[in-house]
Order: sequence, then structure tokens, then C-alpha cells
Amino acid sequence: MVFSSLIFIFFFLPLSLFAYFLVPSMKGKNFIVLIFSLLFYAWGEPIWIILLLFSSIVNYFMALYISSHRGNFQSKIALIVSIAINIGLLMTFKYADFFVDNTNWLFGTAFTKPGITLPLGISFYTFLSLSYTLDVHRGHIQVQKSFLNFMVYVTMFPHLVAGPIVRYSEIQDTINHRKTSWSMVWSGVNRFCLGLFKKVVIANTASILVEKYLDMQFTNLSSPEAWFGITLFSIQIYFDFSGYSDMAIGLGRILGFNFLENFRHPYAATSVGDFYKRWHMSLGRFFRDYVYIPLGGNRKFQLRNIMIVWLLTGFWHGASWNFVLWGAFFGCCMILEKILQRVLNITPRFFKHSYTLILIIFSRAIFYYVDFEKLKIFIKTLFHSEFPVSINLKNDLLGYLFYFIVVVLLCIPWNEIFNAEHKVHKRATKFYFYFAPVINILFLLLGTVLLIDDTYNPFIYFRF
Amino acid sequence: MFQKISIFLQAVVLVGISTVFFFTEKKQISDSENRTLAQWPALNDTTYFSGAYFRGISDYVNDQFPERDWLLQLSNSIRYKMGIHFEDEIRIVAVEGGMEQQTQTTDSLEVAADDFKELYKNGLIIINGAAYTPNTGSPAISPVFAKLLNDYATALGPGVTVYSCIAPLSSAYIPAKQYAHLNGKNEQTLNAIRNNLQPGVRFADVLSELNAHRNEKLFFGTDHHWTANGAYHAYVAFCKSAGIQPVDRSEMNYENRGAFLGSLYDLTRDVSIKEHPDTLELYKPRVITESVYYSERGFKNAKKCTLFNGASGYACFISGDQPLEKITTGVKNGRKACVIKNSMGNAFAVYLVHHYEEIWVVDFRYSKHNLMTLLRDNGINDLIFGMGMYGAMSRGTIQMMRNLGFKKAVTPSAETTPIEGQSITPADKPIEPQAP
Repeated sequence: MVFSSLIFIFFFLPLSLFAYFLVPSMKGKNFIVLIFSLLFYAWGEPIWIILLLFSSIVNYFMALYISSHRGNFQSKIALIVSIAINIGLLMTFKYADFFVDNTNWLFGTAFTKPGITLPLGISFYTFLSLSYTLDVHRGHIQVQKSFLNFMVYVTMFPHLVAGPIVRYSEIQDTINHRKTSWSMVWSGVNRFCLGLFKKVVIANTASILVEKYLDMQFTNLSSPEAWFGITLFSIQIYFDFSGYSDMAIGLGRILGFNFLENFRHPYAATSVGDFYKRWHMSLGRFFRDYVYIPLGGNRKFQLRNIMIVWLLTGFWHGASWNFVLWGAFFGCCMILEKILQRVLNITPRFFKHSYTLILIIFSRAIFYYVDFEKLKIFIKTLFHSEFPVSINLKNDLLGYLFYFIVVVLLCIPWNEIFNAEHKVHKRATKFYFYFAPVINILFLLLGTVLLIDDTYNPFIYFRF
Repeated sequence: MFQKISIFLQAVVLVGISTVFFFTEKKQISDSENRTLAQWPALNDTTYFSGAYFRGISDYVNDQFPERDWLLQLSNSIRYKMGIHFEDEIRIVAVEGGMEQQTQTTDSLEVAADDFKELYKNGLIIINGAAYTPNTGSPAISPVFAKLLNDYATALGPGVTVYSCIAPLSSAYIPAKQYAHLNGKNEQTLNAIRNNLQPGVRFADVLSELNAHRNEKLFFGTDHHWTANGAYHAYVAFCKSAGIQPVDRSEMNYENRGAFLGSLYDLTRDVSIKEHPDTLELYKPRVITESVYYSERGFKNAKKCTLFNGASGYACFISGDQPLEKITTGVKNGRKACVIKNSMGNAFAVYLVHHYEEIWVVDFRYSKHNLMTLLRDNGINDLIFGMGMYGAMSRGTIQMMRNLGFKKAVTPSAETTPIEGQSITPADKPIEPQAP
């Protein structure tokens, strides 16, 4: 099931919240969350729920074992076994075809591809479980003894299928005892409606144009249209994923959980490094804490560490070489930025912002075209094309003029420009407080109308 | 307190809409989308474990949502109003998925999956509220089509004259300079057919005839078919190739059935198309006719029909797309014709009643009748391939026409699969004849 679907908005959500708030005890509430989360997952993947349960049970018992033998050799063995099982599941269910393909290509063998369909959300819940056992081993968190509560942590429907990758430390206090306040629900509802607007109105509209420029007219694109198309994809992927994260964070708040932010106006970044401090922050935090720092961080072999982290980040996104290339591209950009740090420090902000945006938008092409041949042609088109600019570009720029204005407004980090003490910020907050119900209902109705015409609109990050 | 009230209000809106859903009458068919709407799915092991059951429920909620038709229109209006539009702007709109869902669900719908899938896979060009396909014919496939006609001519012998009467695509008449080359590509395709026909097989130059009237309304702007006017010019081209005198429209009854929105509006819900509806103008022959149509196999259960039914759109011609239709006319000249057609042939076939005593109309996409038997048993004089170009530019559709006469008929599902590289030599033995 997806958040941006009529069945979720009008049936699953009211029903689950009604049941949740009807039950008075915390144990009961957690039980309700678990039941609805399993239903949410089973809606799209009735078979793979077995995998989800298996992964959860293994991690629950491994963490208990690690905790009870902390500091001992057995604890390390248990951790290694836990990591091996988690990574093994990911490798089997996400990368098996990729490995068989490459083995066949490298050694001329003819192994048959297993052809496993990617289980929904496996990249997210595997990393979430991994972070839990690693944190238990490091003693950063108390092990969760209640199986019900542990299952709630892993399978909670707000973050189950597309993140954010919630760390247990974020919710360990609230999973056992939490108080639902009106202000939390209020803030959660506001956030959910904003996410719905971002996904259904902004991202889905962009997807119509993306398909037109990057697929339908692929063979006769002019260079400006190619840039326009890939910029639109950058808009789509950002609003799609951040919209999902907003909805997840909003739903979490309604249920009484506080998830950390996953996006912070990434297109306002002034360097590639800055961009990834603002984009999919929960994944960034995972790689920082469990790969970058253990490898030595910025203390030793920093450039190597950066490259390893980025290659892994790329590979996490999908079983395809283009994602590895994408990771390598960003690894190189980050390394170059480190080398040119002194020059960049004295470079005007506008220039830094511009080059960052160009690199980010360019990198989206590597993300979009899984087929290397197509990618090669497209990159060539970005810089040179024999085709003249068609009338489509002008028509779409004007035909979606109000839409683009809204997109730009939403990309600007207003809260960074006007901090909490600024009078503009205060006035805007006051205005939003009184008008939020109207805005929310408007977003809900607008989302509903546009969803009617859009029966299946999965989130881009579902395929990762 | 304000927060509590506002949360309560929003919850009321949400639950209110959910409640309305339960009290809304559920529909079987969407008239505006021309498709069957999803019904509550059946629960069993297969549907549960495949996920089809849950997906079915999601589809059911989407399809049966209260005021769905109105919301669909509103959705398009909202997207259209996301910017500024000019009257003469040229837009390309994607029709992703939309055509996949189009199935033949009612008599009034004669939209075939093969036409839609291929014709609009590259989107639609919309100019002044009229939609055109950006696709053109394929000169590389034309020899395959020409060979089909040659094989029929050879197999039928000198007693039957085979005609190619192929209409260009609407792309030939896109009123914009940058698309002028598409006319040339349509021409190349049709010329390649003409150049590969063997002596004796006649070629009706429909494109030249239409080009001579290019300032008239030849194709609908809201529908993927041509107008009765366009079909009339094709009929004139056919008469020229057959050496007969076409009947002037002044000798027919003119009827204006008013405005309608056709298949391309249904497909796109485009606001500018909606603002430029088509007008259905008919030229009805004064010849007395009687028509019946048959199901896809056999000749039992013939149903009576008329040359023009009461539909307000293109479906009014010869009762839409029927697998096989027999038109008997008051013209007693002993001549009989068989028209092999897709939906474009419907508007064309009506004019032939002036010249034949009996006309058999075969829709190659749906009919499983044996064509050779039909032609021989009924003493057909002229075999006319009268259709929109799309039928002649896909190996899949050509193979379907071949199967009608030379091979056991195929199932309709095969029509969407192009048969690349398949032999086009006639099969050895026609299937056993069926008694009419």
C-alpha cells in the first residue's frame, strides 16, 4: 500500500487511527500498530511478509543474545552472524540477479538468474535492523526485551517501506511509554498533508513531463530540452521522496513518535558535501556511523573512506552498475571538494550554489537511465544535439508556469533565511497556525482529485 | 482548543468522504472512460498470495469513488490551469497507460486495442483543441502488406478484383510547419504499397484525394477516426480506381447530429479538446439497405442492424465494429463486395451501397470466419482492403488479415503482438467451410 492512494487516505488511515486511539493501554496501542503495519505491508507483498517476519525474529533474538553476552567473544560472534544474515538476505533478494548476470558476463558461464522480485522495503528494514543490533552491541541502546515492541519498531507502517531509516535510539523512550498530545497530532496532520501535496501535486505532475522529455522524445531531444527534462526529474525525485518522508514523519507524530528529519532543503546546498547533509539524511547517518567512522573517518585515509561510502551508497540504491557509477561520481565530487577546499572557501556563494545544482541535476541522468547506451546518448545530448529546440519547451514552461513558481518557493529554505526570532518567521508561523486546517483540507481535496486520475503512483524510492 | 477543533474538523471531512463512498451506487461501466470499472475482487488462495486480491480492492476504491467522472474532469482542469495557455499552442500530451485500459466493452465503443496502443504510444499532438497522432506509416512494412494483397489476388484468381484503399493517419494533416514532414512519411508508406502491388491489384489513391481537400474537416479532432467527409473522399478515390462514377453528396441525405467528444478526449481528458468538440455530419445514401451482423464465429444468431444507428459519435456507422456484417442493398446489379477493415472502414463502407447488391464487411481484428470460403460461397466480385493505415503498417495486423484467408484464425489477444519475421507465405490449407 502507498500513502498517496485513496484506499490509504480514506480507509486505512481513519480505521487504524480510530483503533489506535480507542485502545487505552500502551501495549494495546502497540499491538494495533503492529497489526495495521502487517496489513499495510501485506497489501502489496503478501508473500514477502514471511521474509519481514524472519528478519525481525532473527534480529530480535540476536540482539538479546548480544546484550546478555556484551563484551564477550559470543557477543561478537552473534553480531557477525546477525550482520551476515541481514546482508545475506539483502544480497539474495536484491542483488542475486545482478551477481549471476555479472558472473556469467565475466566467466562466460550460463547460470540461470533466480528472477526474484525485490521485496518491498527490504533495503530499509534491513538497514534499520542492522543499526539496531550494531547499537546494542556497542552499548548505545538498551536491548528491547518485548518482542511486540521490537516488532513495532521494525514494522511500523509509517517508515516500513521507504524509510526514513529510523534508529532505535530515536524512539526507544517513546516505544514503551508515550503520551499523545494534541499538538503532536496537530503537527503530524499538518506534516502529512504537506507531504501528500508534495507527492501528488508536485512529484506526480513532474513525472508526466519527465516521461514526455526523457522517454517519449528521447530520440529527438535538443540540449535545452534534455536539461529541462532532467531538471524535472530532479524535481520529481526530491518531491516524491521528501513528500513520502513528510508523510512518514507526520504519521509518526500522530502515533506519538518523533522521527528525525530526512531532508533539509537539499537544492539550497552550496556544495556536494552540503547537499548530502541535506538529502536522505537517515541513510547518510547510517553510512557515517557504521561505515565511514569505523573505517577511520577523517582521521586516516579520509579520501578512501569517502569513496568507499559513496560506492556503497550507490550500490544500496539498486542492483545495477549505473547506481555504482552514480556513487563513484559523487565520491569523486566530494574528494575534489576536499582537495579544492581552500579555493571553495573564497568562492562566492552564488557560484558554489550554481555548480552544486548543475552537478546534482547532471547526476540524476545516471539515476534515470539504467541502460548505459541510453545514458551515453543522453549525456551527449546534454552538451550537443543536432535537433533544434522544439515548441514543447516554451509551451511547457508557460503551460506549467504557476507550478514552477510553487516548486521554486518550496525549494527555498525559508526557515534558514528567516530564523525563529525573525518577525517574518513569527508572522508566518502565526498565519499558518490559523490557516493550517484550511490549507490541509485544500491539500487533501486537491490530492484526492489528482489521485482519481492516477491509479498507481508508486514512490520512486520503492524500487530501492 | 483551536487545535482540537481544527483536528476534529479535518477528521470529519476525511471520514465524511469515506462514509459517502459506502452510500454511493456502484457502477459496472464508465461511460466517459469507455471501460469496465473494477468490482470487488474474489478472495481465494491464488488472488490472496499473488497480491491480486488487495490490488483489486485498491482498484475498486479508485474506480467506484463517489463522483469519479466529475473528479476526473476536475483533475484535468487543475493540471491545465497550472500555467498559461494560448489558443494556437502546440502541445504533446502523454497518454501513458490510458490506452492499455481501453477494451471493447459496449456496442458503442469501437476502439481496438491495437490501434490505440501503437498510434498513441508517442503521445498526442494537440493544436487548437484538435488531437493528432505523431506517428506515421512504415514504408518498410508496406511490401509485406502489398504481398498480402497480391497473395489474395493470386489465390482468388481473375474473378475477384482486389483493392487497396488505405487511409493515411491524421499526422498527414497536422497544421504546423514543424510537422509538415509527417505528410511525406504517410505518402512514402502508401507509395511503397502501390509500388509493390502486382498487376491487377488496384490501388485507390486516397491520400491524393484527401490532399485535394485538405482545407476541409477530414479527421475528427476529438476522436481517432476520420469524418464522414474524409471517408467520402476515400470513396471517390476508390471509385476512380474501380472505374465507376462516384455518387455526388447532393444525391445523399445530409444529417447533422450535433457536437460530440470522441475517443481522444476520453483518452486524454484534455481541457482544450473538450473546449473544441466535433460535429457529427453524415451523408446518408438514399439506397434501401438491410443489414445483419454475426458474432466472431459462424452465422447463427444474426442480429439486425442499420447502416446508421443512433449513436452520437463515430460508432453510428454500420453499428460499430462487428466481426462480420452483411449489407444487402436495393441495387440489383449482381455485384458483390467484401470489405476487410478496421474501424476506419466503417464510415467508408456505407458509400459502397450505391454500387453493390451485397456487401460483406469483415473486421479482421475480431472475425474468425474463413474469408476464402466466404468469398467463394457468396460469389464476391471485389475484395476491398478499406482501412486506416495502421492496419497496414504492423506485421501483427497484416498477419491477422492473412490468417483470415490462409490459416486458422487467431484469437483476438494475438492482435496486439507484432509477429516479427514470421513467414508470409500462405498456409497450405484453408479451414473447412462453414455454411452461412
